Amino acid sequence: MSVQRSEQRDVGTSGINFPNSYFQTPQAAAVRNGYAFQTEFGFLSYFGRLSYKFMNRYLAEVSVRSDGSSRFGQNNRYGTFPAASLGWIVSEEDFLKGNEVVTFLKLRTSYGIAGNAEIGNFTWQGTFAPGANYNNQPGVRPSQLANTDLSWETSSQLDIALDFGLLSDRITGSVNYYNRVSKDMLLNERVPGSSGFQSIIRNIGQMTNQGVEFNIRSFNFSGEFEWSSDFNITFNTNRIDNLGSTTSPDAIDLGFGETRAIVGYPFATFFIVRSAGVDPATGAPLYYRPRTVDGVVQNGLNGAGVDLEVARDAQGNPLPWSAAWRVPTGKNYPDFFGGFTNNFRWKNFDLSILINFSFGNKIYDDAGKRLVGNIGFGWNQMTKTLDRWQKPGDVTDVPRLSLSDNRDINTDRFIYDGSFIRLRNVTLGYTLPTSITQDWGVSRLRVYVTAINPALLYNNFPGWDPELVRDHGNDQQRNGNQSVTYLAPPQAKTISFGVNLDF
Amino acid sequence: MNIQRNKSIFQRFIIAVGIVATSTLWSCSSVLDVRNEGQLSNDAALVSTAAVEVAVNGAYESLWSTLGAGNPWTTLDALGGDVYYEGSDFGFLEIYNLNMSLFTPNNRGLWTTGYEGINRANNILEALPKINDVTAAANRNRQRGECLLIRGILHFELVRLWAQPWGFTADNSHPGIPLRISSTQGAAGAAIPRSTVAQVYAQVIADLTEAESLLGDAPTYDRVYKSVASAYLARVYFQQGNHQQAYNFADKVIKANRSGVRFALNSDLTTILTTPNSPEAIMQIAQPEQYNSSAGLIGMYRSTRYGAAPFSSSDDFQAFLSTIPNNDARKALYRQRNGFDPRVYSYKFDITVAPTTIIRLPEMLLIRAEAGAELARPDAEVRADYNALRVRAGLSADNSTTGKDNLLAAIRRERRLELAFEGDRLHYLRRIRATNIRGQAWNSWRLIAKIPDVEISGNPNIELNP
Repeated sequence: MSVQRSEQRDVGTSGINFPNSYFQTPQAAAVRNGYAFQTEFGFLSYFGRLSYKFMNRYLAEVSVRSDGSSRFGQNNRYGTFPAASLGWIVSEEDFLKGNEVVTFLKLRTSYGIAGNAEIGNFTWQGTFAPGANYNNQPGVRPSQLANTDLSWETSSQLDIALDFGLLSDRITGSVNYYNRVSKDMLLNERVPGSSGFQSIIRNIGQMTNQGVEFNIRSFNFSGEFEWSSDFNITFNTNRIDNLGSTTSPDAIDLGFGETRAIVGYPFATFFIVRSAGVDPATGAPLYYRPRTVDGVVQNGLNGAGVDLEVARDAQGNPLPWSAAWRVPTGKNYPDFFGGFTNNFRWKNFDLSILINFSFGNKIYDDAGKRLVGNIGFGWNQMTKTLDRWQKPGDVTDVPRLSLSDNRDINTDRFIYDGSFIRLRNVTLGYTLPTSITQDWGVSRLRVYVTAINPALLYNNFPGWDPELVRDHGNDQQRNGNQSVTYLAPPQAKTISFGVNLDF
Repeated sequence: MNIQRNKSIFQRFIIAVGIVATSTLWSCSSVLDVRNEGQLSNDAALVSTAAVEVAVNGAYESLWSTLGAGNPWTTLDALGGDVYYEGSDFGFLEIYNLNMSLFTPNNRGLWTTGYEGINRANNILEALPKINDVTAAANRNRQRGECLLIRGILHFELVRLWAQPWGFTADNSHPGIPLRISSTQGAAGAAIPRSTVAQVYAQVIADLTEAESLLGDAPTYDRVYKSVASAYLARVYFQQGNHQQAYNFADKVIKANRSGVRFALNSDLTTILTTPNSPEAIMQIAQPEQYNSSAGLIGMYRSTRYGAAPFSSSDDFQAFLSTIPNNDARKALYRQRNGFDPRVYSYKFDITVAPTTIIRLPEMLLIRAEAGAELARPDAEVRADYNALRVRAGLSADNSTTGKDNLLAAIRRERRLELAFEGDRLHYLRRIRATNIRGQAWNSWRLIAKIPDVEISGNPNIELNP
């Protein structure tokens, strides 16, 4: 059994206009202010676990737990989460024992259900909030819709893994396949603005993540020249299986940035109108719209695939942008990502190089629409604005400048490939021979230089930095905007010099 | 929800050995009982007359954020033809260029705050019958009346912006807006379709009529009261072309005897919109000092020597002004701000903080005059109503105009001048089915706001405006 109880209480006071610096207490100030904040939550858990190990090579474990959380509605506070695992240390079997190539081999698998309660402490409650004051009279307003049925999000996960050690563990590593199905996801679902609210938190839908993780560590050389390598890579695919009763692609609130939760697509797929360039005759922006086949709109949302045509009216004139033409266009999360580390040592020199990489996601530059050609918005422009259409016959991808047309429009003009390889960290060190340093009473003296983020080795994103995240109001919106930028500053490049001293 | 994979379940359960609780600090159920001191739970919010009173303040706050902070007034003027817009605000550019979209921030904000107010009012209306404390009897009717009036006003202002005008179809069966007459308590049933314009107007009239019967008429300027209900009923019937009822309610407001204090025209034209409790103000929304409204309503119109307002007079309005005699004191409210800026600005707000005047007596006089002319009331009686405005402006009374058409022409001229830059013109032009409103007919969809994204996202079946 475990009990967790958290209570947080913040109280603050402040003052402005003190008589002089002698007085430090708030009551001496001419203008005084104060605030208090309180929140709390509780978890109550019961659990049991049985482990069994047989002949040093067969492992089994079964566990079950029941958790209650104050974060859920009165009716649905408890969830029950069983798990089981099996392991087999193959290298302990007679046929492998003493083998000089395969020194360690273990197979393991597990299946379990876990609960997620990572939401706000009071999100299920129907509440009124203060602050709706009118003419200096205090007022309250309905602030949150109740959901007394709110309960645990669960994920059932299957793991199958192989751990290995080769050549007296000079090479070690593991391969792990996982498949996780998340159900009753805790999501903010939009409600109509005419209800007086923006959203309600609900248990909605199902999503599957599956993939393979691989890591290997190898001591390539030892002796006077040492070299060791670490490599890891993760492949992940993600798919929204269903979203319950919701029907609108905009039902799940992912904030700004044109990412949406759409059934059959990865979570946070970009859902956006595709640009068809600029009409050479008029300079007007052109857009694609989904073709309609036998009355079915081919926007990809009905499983029909995306089938597009340039949007023009019967006379052939370009039609202005319409939100009805949005189609799934690339994803927010990579196909695979990982890291590669190499450590070298020769005599008193040491060198380490860390590279990380990520491939397969798109980036949406949400500020692009205001930085290229949208002069009406009043921002400084990128030099690309100079490529604007100017006279009939011009072929360009920047439309004619206009103060009267609405150009504050999201299109795939500002979607880019987000793949990159980054040299993350390089450190070169030199340790002075102890024969010199021991005379100074120093057992070890190492000088080093470290470069953090010195270079991108591969990058297709024309903006500042392909590794980005858009900050947003809540976790759900941040999860949905992992590859959206809105003027996010790039990561710093840092070079530092240092000395390690041991006495 | 977590997209990236963290630990395997296997690892998670090894960690989960946890703390073995021997503590008896909490009984098992109370561990899960929590207090939320920052918010009030629904079942504790509206339990007494005093608690309802602060919720009524909350409904007024919606009225302030919907009508008091500049919208829809500025939107209507940007559409209506008297205003020339010279700014780079994305929302106003869309509106002024008749290119409104589902993202137009001004409209999205108006829809959101308006319906929040309607929901606030509905919560109170549903709670009131259950409250029986000692002060309930003395306050129940007033609280109900204020909430009905706020709900009616908000529905009316929204339907006029988001739906084609009254008369667009013969039976007004064209789409109006979602009609919200019960509070929202959960996701179930929250997505309702648009009611017809006829249904919305019928509910508005029912709400305003009941509010009028429940409310007293001894106002403080920042609340709504009986004559506000009467004045809004005059507006609604006037918009419908129901001249008899428009006449009746305008007449009622003009003659209202509020404990012996009658509405009267302000003698000073330069402060008609800015004086709290001005004698001609029928409905005002308070603007507390901390909400310096220079960013809202006043900021759009007010010019100083140092900076031009985003809104100035259109060429059309300047042409109209040139037909106004120089001795009309109202003409001086529109002038250039210095020697080099050729545009003409409104000086109705020459102040940084002022209450927002939603309805004032001249509108009632003009409604009564126009409805009277339509109803073939005596010419002298019709002239008397608009002559009151002429005389205040320093002109001589018009004693010669006769006949319905001539009277209507005179009234319309007075109305355009008197209520200029007060958000009146677009609705008025649609009422009289003008054929050229900035190049558009009275029933053009380009003058109608689009259903905003905040509605569509949660209400996929709502019918959209083309």
